[in-house]
Parts: sequence; structure tokens; C-alpha cells
Amino acid sequence: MTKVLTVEQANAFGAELDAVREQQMNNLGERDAKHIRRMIKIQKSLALAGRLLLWFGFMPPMFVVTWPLGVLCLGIAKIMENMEIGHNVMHGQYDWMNDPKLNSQTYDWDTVSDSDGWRYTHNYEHHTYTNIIGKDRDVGYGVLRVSKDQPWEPHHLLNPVSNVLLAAGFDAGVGLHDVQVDEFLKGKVSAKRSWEALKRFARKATRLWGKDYVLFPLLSGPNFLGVIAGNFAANMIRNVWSNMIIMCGHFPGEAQTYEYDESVLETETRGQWYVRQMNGSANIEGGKVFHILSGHLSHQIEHHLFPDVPAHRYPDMAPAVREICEKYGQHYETGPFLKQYGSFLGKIFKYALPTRKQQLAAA
Amino acid sequence: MTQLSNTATWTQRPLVRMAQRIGFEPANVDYFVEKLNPVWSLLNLRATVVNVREETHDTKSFELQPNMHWQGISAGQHVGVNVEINGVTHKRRYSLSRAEAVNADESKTIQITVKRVEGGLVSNHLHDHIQAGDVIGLEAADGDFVLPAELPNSLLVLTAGSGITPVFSQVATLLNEGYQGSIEFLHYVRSPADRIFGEQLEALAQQYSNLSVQWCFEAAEGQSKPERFSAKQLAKRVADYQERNAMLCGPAGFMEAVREHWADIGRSDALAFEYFGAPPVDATDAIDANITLKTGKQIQLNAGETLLDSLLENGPNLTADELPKYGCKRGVCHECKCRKTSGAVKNLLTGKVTAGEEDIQLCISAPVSDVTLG
Ligand SMILES: Cc1cc2nc3c(=O)[nH]c(=O)nc-3n(C[C@H](O)[C@H](O)[C@H](O)COP(=O)(O)OP(=O)(O)OC[C@H]3O[C@@H](n4cnc5c(N)ncnc54)[C@H](O)[C@@H]3O)c2cc1C
Repeated sequence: MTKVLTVEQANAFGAELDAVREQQMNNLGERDAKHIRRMIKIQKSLALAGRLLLWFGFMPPMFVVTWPLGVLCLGIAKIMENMEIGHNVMHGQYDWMNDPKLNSQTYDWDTVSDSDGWRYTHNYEHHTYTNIIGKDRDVGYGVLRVSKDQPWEPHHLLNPVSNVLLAAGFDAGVGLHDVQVDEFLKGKVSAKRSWEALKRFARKATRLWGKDYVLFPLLSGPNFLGVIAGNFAANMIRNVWSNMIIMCGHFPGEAQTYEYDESVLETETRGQWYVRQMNGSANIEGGKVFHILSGHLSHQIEHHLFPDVPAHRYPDMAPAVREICEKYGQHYETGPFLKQYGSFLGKIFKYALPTRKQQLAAA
Repeated sequence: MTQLSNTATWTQRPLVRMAQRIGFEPANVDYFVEKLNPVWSLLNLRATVVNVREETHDTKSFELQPNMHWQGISAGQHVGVNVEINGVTHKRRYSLSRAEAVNADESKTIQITVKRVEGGLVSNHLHDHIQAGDVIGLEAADGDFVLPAELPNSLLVLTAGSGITPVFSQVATLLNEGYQGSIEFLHYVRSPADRIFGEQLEALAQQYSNLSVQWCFEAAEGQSKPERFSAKQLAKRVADYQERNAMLCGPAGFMEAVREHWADIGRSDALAFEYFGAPPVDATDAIDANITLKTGKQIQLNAGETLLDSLLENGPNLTADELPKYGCKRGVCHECKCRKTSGAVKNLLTGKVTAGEEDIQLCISAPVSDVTLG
């Protein structure tokens, strides 16, 4: 169990983490520029290879090789663009490079979620109100029940099914996140706001699904169907993978959720903010390739403490963060992928049913 | 907010726009185009350095061949040069330093001349690392320090240091085009060895009898004390200076002195000038500051406030377009990131003070000088 810190302890904890951040920010440079450009190079080359394989690989004997290979290349390219490149660039991790192509406020990532809407709901809402029930809409994404603190509703009985559907349609799910249908139905956001967000989603989806399901298939001529199926499969790979990684970010093991209390938030110090971020996040252990394919969200703890530090530095920072956590008695939630995902899945089944206290209250 | 300043116009054509709506991405194609040749681009202005020449011990000229996005330049104007140093792209302006107006349709080269600035990032990088064959980022020509359509009867030129570059290109252009009026060219410089374009100016004076060149040295052989600008000094050099239309370019201190005198004699409207940059800011503590917004509107900021606080406080007086986008108010989400075009701010998280054109997070920036947001 994690120790509850006093304000002074939390501030000291924060000061030590600030020092870790400072150490990295002081030597941003060539190394980071090389890293992100290398990622872009690999990603664009894989995307090109994938598209070419899907376009031209329609001769019957070749098909069994080129089609799966094309899908794999394109799927990995999409994963890299969304996770290691898009997500991280849009956090402002590379803004200091002053490269207009890598600017957080103008970067448009390659998924049907509108970038401006994403920057607001993710960078602001999720990263500020992390794991605060009722405030952070990433807690269960408006469909799942992942914590006993979330009030149970009948549709949560479908938790396991919803989870599969959310994974398969994750791009659309993230894209529609900002439309806030659930909040609109509850009367918490205006129809105008939801409508604007829906229009932005539609514009973006037309562009990206237009590319995958109209433009490229048309360009490929006779292999029309092969390209559509290939692009669909690649999108599916990306959806399921990114969903599984992201579900491991805040819900496994002892990662905490919080009750919303405006007055507590108002007076929260930077140190206390660090404590909340740290205890609401969970890491996944793995090698370098795994970290890259997860956009370094496998270092979710470091990411939530230091969202604008170039993510490829998180593995270097992790030992120091862990040491500081130990020193202050803070639980550092981490484990291999299967364990973390398994823990999340367990909660999906467990919290499909009402928690005992609520059952009693209802009875 | 940063924009691709050289976005090519072809992407705005109706058919291309339609294609973009269903997923065509020029930037993705461009990525592979520039891999074939780094100066090629479907979108961005760039140039190949075709020649580097030493002008003086601390000044070099770079001859540049721009790619197809080049729109031309007039004498006296400047281009933006972008170079990457340790992962960071830096932008500086450099004046055209040759006697020609290059039209867009001509595939001629342009030339800039760069003086080393002590401790300067870009000038030293250009000197030490840029060679013939390299490719650099360019930004389109700009500037209103150009020759008027109706030429004055006589001219006085006052330059110092690297300020000679834009004026040299204007004077040489004028003479080539057959200007008949008298030109008095005074250049204030440390020593004979520091004269940029010394020989070229002397040669022009030989060729054109209406040009007279005078050097005012800080120190030179046989000169007992430094010759610096003053009303008296100038009157001695050019008796009729008050009747001439003047052109001025040089370090800020020198320019202030000249401009003050021109104001005193009531001739400010006959003085054209250009600054090469604001003098350095050395404030380190928060102050009351004037904030100029991109619409030109000004607001007052109280010492100790962040830019975001101040903008939000003024919210009722601001239009939707002037109000910043923002989020966490604690330096995390970068929603309030905004372009600062001038002025200096202190980053409250790091304590660092930075000046000049850059992106800043409004919620953790406290001005230490007047600031202009873009
Ligand atoms: C319109 C315009 C035209 C210009 N044309 C030319 C040109 O033709 N040739 C040329 O050499 N430069 C020209 N400059 C100046 C040039 O853009 C750079 O400012 C200069 O090269 C210094 O850049 P840096 O990166 O080396 O120095 P920085 O790293 O930016 O500055 C280092 C230090 O030097 C000081 N400093 C900056 N600029 C100057 C300066 N000009 N004189 C004295 N101290 C300075 C700074 O305050 C700072 O303390 C022009 C500037 C403008 C705005």
C-alpha cells in the first residue's frame, strides 16, 4: 500500500521529481531530434512499403505473402505514428526544436480523432484531472466500469463485451470521445458543443477513412478489394494494440482513482499533483522495441509525471523515479504486459457486477 | 502559433484541396521528394549554398541558389535563414548584399553577407559549418527598406558594421541603373581591415563619378583618435548633409544617435533606416509591462502576473480571436502555447529568461519587458 503523504512530504517528493525533470530538460538536443526523425523515417518507410505491397501484390501466388506482409507493415506504421510520434509530439515534447512539422499545436495525427479536440480532452482534461471520477472521462471511457468507485449502472453488466467492441473500434471511440454523447444525454454539455465536435470528427473521418477505403483502393485498380481489406486489417491491428496498451495505463493493480473535490484541487500543490499522477498510473515492463511500439506509454508513470519530456528518455528516468517513490513509500505499479492486462481484464469482469456496498444500498 | 511560412500555393488549387479532403497529404509525398535531393521540396523554400567567400577576417558572403518556391527580392530587402543547431531550428534575417533585383522567373543566385557576432549562435554556425553544397532553409524576402519609386536628387548613406549590407546592394543597384544624383557614402568601422565591401565600394567610386566613399575609422594608421558620429563630425565630412535624403543602418546605439540628430534638425522624414535587431534585454525580474496582441490591441500587465492571468483578467475587453486557448494553468498541457514575436519573459518553472521570437506557454511566462504576441 502506498503511504499517505503530508503536504510537506508531498512537496519534498515533488522537488525531487522536479530535479529529475530538470536534469533531462537541460540537455535536450541533437539526440532527441535524431530519435524522433528516425522514428518518422521508419514509420514512413513502413507505411510506404505496406501500401505498395497491398497495391501491387495481387497476383494469386504472391498474394498469400504480400497481403499479410503489407498489412503488418501498415499496421506497425499506424501504431508508430499514433503512439510514438503523434501522441508524443502533440504533448509538446518536441516543441523546443522549433520545427513546424513537430509543433504540438499544429500537428495533425493519423487517426480519426480531431487533433484540436484531442489536445483539449487528453492533454488538458485527462492529464490534469487524471483518474478523478466524474472529471477524467478516460476512467472507463464512458462505457466501462474499471473501479469500485465508479457508480454501477445496468449497462456495466456488458463490461466484457463493451471492452471488446471498444478495442475493435478504438479509433472511432477516441474520435467520438470529444463529442461526449454520455455527458450530452445527462445534460452536462450543450448540444452545440457536441455538434461542433461531431462535425470535426466527421471531417477528419472523411479524410482518413476516405484515404483508406476510397482513395488508395481506387488508385490500385483491380486490387480494389484487397486494398480495402488490407487497410481495414491494419487499422484493426492498430486499434486493438493501442487499446490494450492504453488500458494498462491507469487501471491495473493498485493504480488509484480519486473522488472529485474542487476545493482540494484548488489548493493542490505541485508536489501533491505529482503524488496523484504517480499513484494513478501503471507501467508495463518490456524491451526497447516494445517501449517504442507503445509510444513509451509503457512508462505511463513517467509520462504522467513529465508529459512534455521526450518520451524516449523515460526509460533513463525510471530508475531515479522509482528510487524516489521507494524513499517516500509510494507504490510504483509495474509488471509484464500479460500481468498488467490480465489485472485490467479481471477488473472488467469484477466490476461488471455491482459492488457489495452499493447492492446493499440499493436493496 | 508557428505556421509553415512557405506553404506553396499549389496546395490551395481546387482539385488539390478536394484530394486533400479525401486523404491526399502533400507533406507525406514531400517527405520522400526531399529524400531524393535535400533542396527539392513540394512545399518549402530552401536554397543550396553554391559559393562561400571571405570578405574580411570576420565576415563571409554566401551565394545561394533558391529552389522553385523563390519569389524574388529587391535591393535593401532581407531573407530569413533557418539553420538547425543541436536539434533546434534558429531563424535569422540577412540582407541581400549584391547589386541586383532578382526576379522570380530568373534562376539567378542571391547573396547574403554575415558578420560574426561575438557569442552569436547563427552567425558563427554559418561561418564555421556551412560550406558550398550545403542546403539551408530560407524564408521569403521581406522589408520596406527599399529604394523609393521617385528618387531623391542627392543621397547621404550612413552605415556601421554589418549594416553596410542592405545599403550597399541599394547603392550598387542605383548606380547600375543609371542614377545621376550625388551619393555621399560614409561607413563607420573599427579599422581598415574591418571594411566589408571596401574594395567593391572603391571600385564603384572609380567607375561612377557621382559616388564618393568616406571611411570613418575607430583606429587606423596615422590617426590619433577615433572618429565617431557626431553632428560636428558629419558636417566636416559632408557640408550639405542636411539637404540630402539619408539612409541609415548599423548597430542600435549608432542608429539612435543619428536618429536623434535628425529629429533635432527636423528632418526625420528624410531618413530611411533599418534595425538589425533590438538591443539585448538584461532585466531579470518581473515588471509592469505592455502586452501587444496580434490584433494590435494593448493591455497592461501587473508585475508578478503571468501572461495568461493578465489576458484572462482582460477577458471582457478581448475578442474571441484575442483570447488565448488554455488548459491546466500549470505548465503541463501546452494548450496555451503562443508565439511571442518580441520581448523577454521568465519561465516560472525553470526560472530561465528568454528573449526574441519563440513559442511560450502563457501560463508559466512572466514578462520581464514589454511583449508582443503573434
Ligand atoms: C532586417 C535584418 C537584417 C539583417 N541583415 C543582416 C546582414 O545583412 N548581415 C548580418 O551579419 N546580420 C544581419 N542581421 C542580423 C542577424 O539577423 C543576426 O541577428 C546576427 O547574425 C546575430 O545572430 P546570432 O544568432 O549570431 O546571434 P544571437 O545568438 O542571436 O545573439 C548573441 C548576442 O549578440 C547580440 N546581438 C544579436 N544581434 C546583434 C547584432 N546585429 N549586433 C550586435 N549584437 C547583436 C544579442 O543581443 C546577444 O547578446 C539582420 C537583422 C535584421 C533584423
